[in-house]
Amino acid sequence: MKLLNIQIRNFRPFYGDQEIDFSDTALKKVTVIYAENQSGKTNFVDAFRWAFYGKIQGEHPGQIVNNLALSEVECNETVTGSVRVKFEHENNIFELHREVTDRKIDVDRSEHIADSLKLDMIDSDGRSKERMSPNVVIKRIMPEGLHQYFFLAGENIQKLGEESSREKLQSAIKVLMGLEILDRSKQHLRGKVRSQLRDELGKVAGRDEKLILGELEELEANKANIDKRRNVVMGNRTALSEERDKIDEKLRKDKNTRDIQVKRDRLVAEKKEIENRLKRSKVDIMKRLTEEGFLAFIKNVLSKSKKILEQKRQKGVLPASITYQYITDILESEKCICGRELCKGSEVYTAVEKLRNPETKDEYVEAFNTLGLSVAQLLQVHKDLKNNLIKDQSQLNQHLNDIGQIREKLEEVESQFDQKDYEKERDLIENKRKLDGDMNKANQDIGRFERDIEEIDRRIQEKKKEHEETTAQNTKNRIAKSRLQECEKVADFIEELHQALIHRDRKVLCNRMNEIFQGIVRGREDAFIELNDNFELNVRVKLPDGGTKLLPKGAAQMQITCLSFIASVVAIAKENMDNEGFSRGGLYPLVLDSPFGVMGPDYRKHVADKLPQFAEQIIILVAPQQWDKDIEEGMGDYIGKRYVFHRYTPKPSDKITQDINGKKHILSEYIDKRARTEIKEVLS
Amino acid sequence: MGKNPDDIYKSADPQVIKIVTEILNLEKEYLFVAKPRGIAEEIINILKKEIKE
Repeated sequence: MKLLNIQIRNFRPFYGDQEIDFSDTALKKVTVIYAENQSGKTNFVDAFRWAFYGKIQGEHPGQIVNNLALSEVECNETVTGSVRVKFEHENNIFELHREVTDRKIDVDRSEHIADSLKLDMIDSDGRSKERMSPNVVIKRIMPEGLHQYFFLAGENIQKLGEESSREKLQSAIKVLMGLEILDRSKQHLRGKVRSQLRDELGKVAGRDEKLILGELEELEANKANIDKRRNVVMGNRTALSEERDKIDEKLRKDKNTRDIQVKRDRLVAEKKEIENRLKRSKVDIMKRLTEEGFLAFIKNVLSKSKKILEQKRQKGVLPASITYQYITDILESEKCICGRELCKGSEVYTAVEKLRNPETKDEYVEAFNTLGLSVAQLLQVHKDLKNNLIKDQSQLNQHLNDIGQIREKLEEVESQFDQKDYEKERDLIENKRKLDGDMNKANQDIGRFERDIEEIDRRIQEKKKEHEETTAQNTKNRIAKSRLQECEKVADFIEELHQALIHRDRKVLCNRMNEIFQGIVRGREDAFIELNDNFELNVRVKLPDGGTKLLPKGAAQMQITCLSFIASVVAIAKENMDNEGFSRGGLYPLVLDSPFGVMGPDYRKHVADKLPQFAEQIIILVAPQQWDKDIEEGMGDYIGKRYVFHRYTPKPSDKITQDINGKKHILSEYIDKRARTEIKEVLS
Repeated sequence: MGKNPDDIYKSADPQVIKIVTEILNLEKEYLFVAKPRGIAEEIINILKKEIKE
C-alpha cells in the first residue's frame, strides 16, 4: 500500500479544503510535515484513522466538522466535513471518501444528520471507476488491528514494548509474516473441513461386499435345493399319474365299472376343455384391457371434443366459414386455438399461416372432417369395449358355472363307486382315490416350490442390485477416506511449517531488529533486543561472564526498540511477499507522528540516518524543536515533499516559524478570530 | 531441533504441496474477514478437485 494524496475538508482543526500529495518514489520516499504542538498533528493521523475506520483517537471524538466552518453558517444550515484518501495497492488505485454532515442548531451546538463512506477503484486510464465495498477492501488491505503499527503517534511507539501490547504484537507479527494464514488454515482443516469430510465418509460407509456375496450364494443354494425338491416331487407326480392311468384303464376294461369310468372320463375331458376355454377368455380380457382400456379414461374428453366441434359447425365457425381475418387474428395473438405458442418461422406457425391461402381450404376441410370422424370412431370403440367386456364377463361366469356343474357330476359319479355293486373293485377304487390325493398334494407342493423359487429369484435380483450399489458405494467410500487422509496430511504439513516459520521468522526478526538497533544506539555493542517466546520486546545487555541481564525500559530506548521492531516487521513483510510457495506479507507505509520526540540528539541523528530505510514510504510529522540539522542531513536526500501546518491560534502568542532550506515558514500566529489550521506546501 | 521450512517443502508429497498452496492463497483472500463463511466448502472443493471420484 502506498499513500498518494489526502484531501481534507472542514475536518477538526482543518478549515476549508486542504490537500497533501505524498512523495512515493523509491528515491524520494519521505514526506515531512512541520507542525507546532496543538496545531493538528494528531488530528492529521486521525484523518487517516477516521477515513479508514471511522475512529478518532484524539480529544472530543464526536466533533468531526470544523468549528469555524460551522460558525460561519446560519442555524439549520449544514456543513460537511470529509477526508478523501487516494492510495495504491497491488497496482490498483483506490479513492476512499468518508464524510459527515452536521446541521447547526445554535451558536454552540450542532448535530450529525448524515454520513457516508465510499471506495472507488480507479482503472489505469484514470477515468473509469468501480465502486467497491469499503469495509471488505479495507479489512483486506489495512485491517484495523494493523493500522496502529503504521500510523504511529510518538507516545504510542514506545507503548508497543509494554506488556499490555504483547498480544497485539503477537497478532501483528503473525499477520504481517503470513503466519496468521497458516493458523487459520490449520483451524479450518482440523475443524469444519475435517468434520464435513467425516460426515461424507459416514454417509458412504458401504456394507461389506463379501457379506452380500455370501448372502447371494446362500439364496442361490436355497433355490437349487428347492428346485431339486420340486423335481423330485414332479418325478413322483409323473409316477403317480402313470399309476393312476393304469387303474383308470383297468376300471375302463372291467365290465362292471366300465360305464361309470367312461362317464367319468367324459366329464373329466369336458372339465378340461371348459377350463381351457376359461383360460383363453381370461387372456382375451387382459388383451382387450391392455389395448383399449385407456378409452375408459378419455370418454369425457371425446364427448367434449365432439360437442365443441358440433357447436363450431353449428355456428359456422368451422370448417366452412374460416376466414383470412380469423387466421390473421390467431397468428397475431401468437397462440393457436389448441394452446400452442405460435412463433414466427416455426413449423406450427407456417402450418397455420398456410390456412390463409384459399388453395389450402380443401385440405383444411378434410382435416376438420378427419378429426370429427376420429372422435366419432373413438367414441364407438369406447362403446364396443364396454359391450365386449360385459360379454366377456358373462362368458367367464358361464365357464365357471359349467365347471361347477361338472364338478358336481363328477362327485356324483365318484359316489357311485361307493355302492355295494363295486365291492370287488374296492381296492382299485380306494387305491385310485389315494393316488388322486397324493397327486393333489404333489401339485400343491410343486406350486409352493414354484412360489418359493419365484420369491428367491426376486430376492436374488435384489441382492445383485445391492451388490452393484455396494460396489459403487465402496468406491465412494475409498475416495472419501482418501480425502480425509489427505486433509490430515495437509493439516500436519501446515502445522510443521507453522512451527518452523515461527522459529525462523522470530530469529530473522531479532537479527533484523538488532541490526537496526545497533545502527542507532552506536557504542553499546553489548546491548541487544530480545523477542522472547511470549513475543515480549526487551533490551538486554551481555555480561562479562557470558550471561545477560535485562535493561530497565527507558522511554528513549523503548522508542528506538519499537521503531526497530516496526521497521523490521515492515521490511520482512515486504521481503516475504512471494516466499514459501504462497503469498505472504506485503508493502506498508509508515506514518510517524513525532518519532524523535523523547530521544537525545545522538539517537535522533542515528534514527534519521536509518529511518528512510525502514519502509517503502514514510510520512513524518515533526514539531520544530524536534527537527535539527542532523536530522535534515540524515534524511534530506530522501525527502520528496514538505508541508507545514499553519496554525492561526486565538491565544495571544509570538509567531513561530520553521527554517526550511534557508527560508522561514510560519507554523503558528495569533489571530483574534477564525482560529484554524491550514496546510501549505513548502516549495523548494 | 526441528526442520527448516525449505526441508519441510522438499520432503513433502507434491500433491500435499499443491493443495497447501491453493489453501493458503484462499486463506489470504479471506484473511481479513472476521468470520469467513464458505471457506471450509472451498477448501473441501480443493481437496475434492485433487482426489476425484
